[in-house]
Amino acid sequence: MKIAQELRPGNVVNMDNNLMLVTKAEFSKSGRNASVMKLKLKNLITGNGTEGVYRSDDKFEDVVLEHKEVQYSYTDGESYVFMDAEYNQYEITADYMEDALKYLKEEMPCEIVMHEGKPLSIELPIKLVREVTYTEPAARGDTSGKVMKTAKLETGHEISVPAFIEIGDKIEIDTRTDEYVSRAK
Amino acid sequence: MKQTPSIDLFCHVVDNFGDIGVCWRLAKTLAEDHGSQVRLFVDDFKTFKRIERDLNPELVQQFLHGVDVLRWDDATIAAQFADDVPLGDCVIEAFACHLPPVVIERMKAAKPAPVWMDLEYLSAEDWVDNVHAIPSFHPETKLQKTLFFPGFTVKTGGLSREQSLMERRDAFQKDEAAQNRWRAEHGAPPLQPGVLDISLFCYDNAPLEDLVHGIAAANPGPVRFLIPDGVARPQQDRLAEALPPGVTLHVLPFLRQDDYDHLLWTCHLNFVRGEDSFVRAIWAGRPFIWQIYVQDEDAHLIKLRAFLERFSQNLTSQDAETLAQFTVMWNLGGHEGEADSVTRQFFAALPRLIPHARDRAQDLAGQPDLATQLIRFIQAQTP
Repeated sequence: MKIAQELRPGNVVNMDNNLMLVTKAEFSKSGRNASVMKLKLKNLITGNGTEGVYRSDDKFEDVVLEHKEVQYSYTDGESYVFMDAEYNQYEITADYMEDALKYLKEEMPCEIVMHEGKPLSIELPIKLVREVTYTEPAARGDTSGKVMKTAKLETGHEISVPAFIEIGDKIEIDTRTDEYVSRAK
Repeated sequence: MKQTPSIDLFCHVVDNFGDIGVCWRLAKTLAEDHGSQVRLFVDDFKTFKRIERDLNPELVQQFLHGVDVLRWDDATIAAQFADDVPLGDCVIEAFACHLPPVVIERMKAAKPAPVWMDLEYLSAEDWVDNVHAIPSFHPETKLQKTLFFPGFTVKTGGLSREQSLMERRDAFQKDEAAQNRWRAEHGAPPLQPGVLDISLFCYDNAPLEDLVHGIAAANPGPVRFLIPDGVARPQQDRLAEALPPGVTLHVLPFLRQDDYDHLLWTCHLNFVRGEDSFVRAIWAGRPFIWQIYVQDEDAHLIKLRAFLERFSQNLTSQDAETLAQFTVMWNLGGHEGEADSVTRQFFAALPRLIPHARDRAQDLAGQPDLATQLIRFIQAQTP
């Protein structure tokens, strides 16, 4: 079993005997230290999509599928191509990638999720480092880390970072929550 | 036209008065404004009694303001959810309070199952628009469950507001004699020209000393603090000892919800906290300062900023920044020397915040209220 907060793109859960692939997982902090997850799910048999909003502690039956270590190679716009150590290629269409695209960059190592020999999606590392390519300058004197601002990453995705982060900084990100963790050395 | 749904509402009192404050107000509004048959299950009648004096904490079940009020204990739940007792059309758990297993089992067995909802916390953040009221397959029970979010936009469940609220507020605020009668009945001094009355409802960690020093520096004229009893008691005592000239303290008895509204309506500036008093301060249409419930990793500060940004629309950028700085100071405490200047700027801006508060209340009252949206949603989900 996994709680909703632990689910991330690439995971597969059993919902009333339907195998559902998590393609997007959005985490938000609600009140009194509670949190909610919005999940976008794709039925592996029918291909139909659905979405749901859950408390972060709602329990899901996760389905363990085959994983293979790969490296991101290239995209032709519609499909994303990954390669394993034996130079085998695996193609995944964009509609199965969703959240994974936020942090994808060339030669990035990741794990591909397979179902009955077919590549389904990729699972991102829980934490990864990306470079900030644009953010507004910090207000002078604000070093508390409590004031946040938006920063654009090298992949084009934007997240909230503390005001002291500057362009060119490398930052560690929690891919489950899209949250800034720390400034990477 | 669909029949008004019956509703079972569950409230677990975690701390303070927010849980029961929100639930009691919602239950009354659903019953009185919409004619809904409401069963309200509450696990802490002692706290409930503080805000509703008509409640008899010795009784397991009683009928108040059109609501069937029941104590949430094992025996009552077993009796109320026995197979031969009809379920409500909708079951609402407030603030993720977790329903008793017997209720879940009844819901699973019912054909059709009642609409199951989780009333969530109020937030002004943008993400609320994207998660509000999406019926979702609940994997553990195989039932549909919906998280319902109050909020500030038309894409959310709105704010709790009775249909007659604005009318009653306007009538009271226009009637100085009525205000003074209410004040006399509740131990508050009468209105006095040139005197600023401030109501104070805050958590124990509020920087009251900073506020008082700041007021002394700002010198806005005579100030009277009106404080419902039982709130921030240790700070109250310290405050009483540290009052600068021109500032007086008036402790009122603990007020039930209707009376607390009157306090907000008659004061010139209100300090409020949590969720229920915060929403009531918005409807009062008077300037207010919100102390938000503290969360881990400073998540509350993001929520506070989101509210300030939303609420400060139409203010000049300078006044919006002044309001934000003063509110943040009230939530975090001021750095040395900063509190005085921030407070001075805030009181200088106060005359401009008065019409702004009234306009924002009017704007928000143009959106459907929480109870109305709940009823509409339930009806849309019911065959």
